[in-house]
Amino acid sequence: MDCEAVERSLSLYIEGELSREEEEAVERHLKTCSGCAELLDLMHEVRGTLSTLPSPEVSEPMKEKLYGIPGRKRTIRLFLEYLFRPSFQPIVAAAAILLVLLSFIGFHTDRSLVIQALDRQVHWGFSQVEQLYAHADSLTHALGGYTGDVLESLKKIPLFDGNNEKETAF
Amino acid sequence: MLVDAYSQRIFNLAYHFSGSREEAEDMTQEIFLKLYTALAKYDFSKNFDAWLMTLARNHLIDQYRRTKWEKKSRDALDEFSLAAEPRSGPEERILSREIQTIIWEGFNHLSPDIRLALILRDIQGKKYDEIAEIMALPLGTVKSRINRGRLQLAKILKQRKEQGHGL
Repeated sequence: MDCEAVERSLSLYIEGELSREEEEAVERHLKTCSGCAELLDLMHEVRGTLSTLPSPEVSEPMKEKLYGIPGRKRTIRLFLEYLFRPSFQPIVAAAAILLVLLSFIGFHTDRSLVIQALDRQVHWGFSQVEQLYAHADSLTHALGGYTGDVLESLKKIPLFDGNNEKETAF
Repeated sequence: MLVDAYSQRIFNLAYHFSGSREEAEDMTQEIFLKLYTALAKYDFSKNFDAWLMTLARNHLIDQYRRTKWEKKSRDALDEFSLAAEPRSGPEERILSREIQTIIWEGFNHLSPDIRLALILRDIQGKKYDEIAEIMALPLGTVKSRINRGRLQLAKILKQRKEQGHGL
């Protein structure tokens, strides 16, 4: 048995788990190899020391936290059940869509382009509304003092009168 | 109750593995959280102790890979908590404390699997076949890892003795 083979067998030798033949082979080597004999002593020391390492007690506040875990988990489960009940689903769906849109804007590589495009669309919408107001204003202005008369005439047109045919018959 | 029966064992495993009381407390809580979630999937034909220790082992190794504890230093050993030989004199106690510190710090040089196997065997006193079940490894691999761990620590101890750290 060489040093490498003895090193591989040292733990089992210490714990008495080798066969009689293997044990004798290790002992023969140890008698002639001071390096391996020293390693054996050190391994005994390591084993002995490991068994004396401190094992601190679990503190009371820590235990309290551990006792509280099932309750905490139950609260989370109830909250999730409340959040995902059927009547909340449209809100959850809307929130998910909003989140996807926001993340699309937030994580898009050309974020500035997306923001510019959005900006253009919003401004276009505003300008359309402004144009509509401007048309309404110009119409009111063109009519001038006749606005009242025009409205009065419009009222007299029997467009929505159900007795229209009856009146023409007379 | 699960907390009374297992918290000490899980906490000590996490403490010896991470070397930090604070980390061990956080990880014990995380392991118990996982335990309550996984309980529904527990197969009653299996050994509960081994199942729980496997869950703890997986969590510890995952955390180790994520945070790389080997870069962190371990807590200083509390001298009042060290188990000294009652009949030993002050010199022996100092020597014993120094060796404990070398071994304690030496844990950081062991790979996570070897460290865990050594803790289970030499600190928690588990049998080889129990460790093989917990770590989901063949018996031969477990024996070889434990031997490698002891050898590594023995070589670290030898090196420190040669450097003359008062030993």
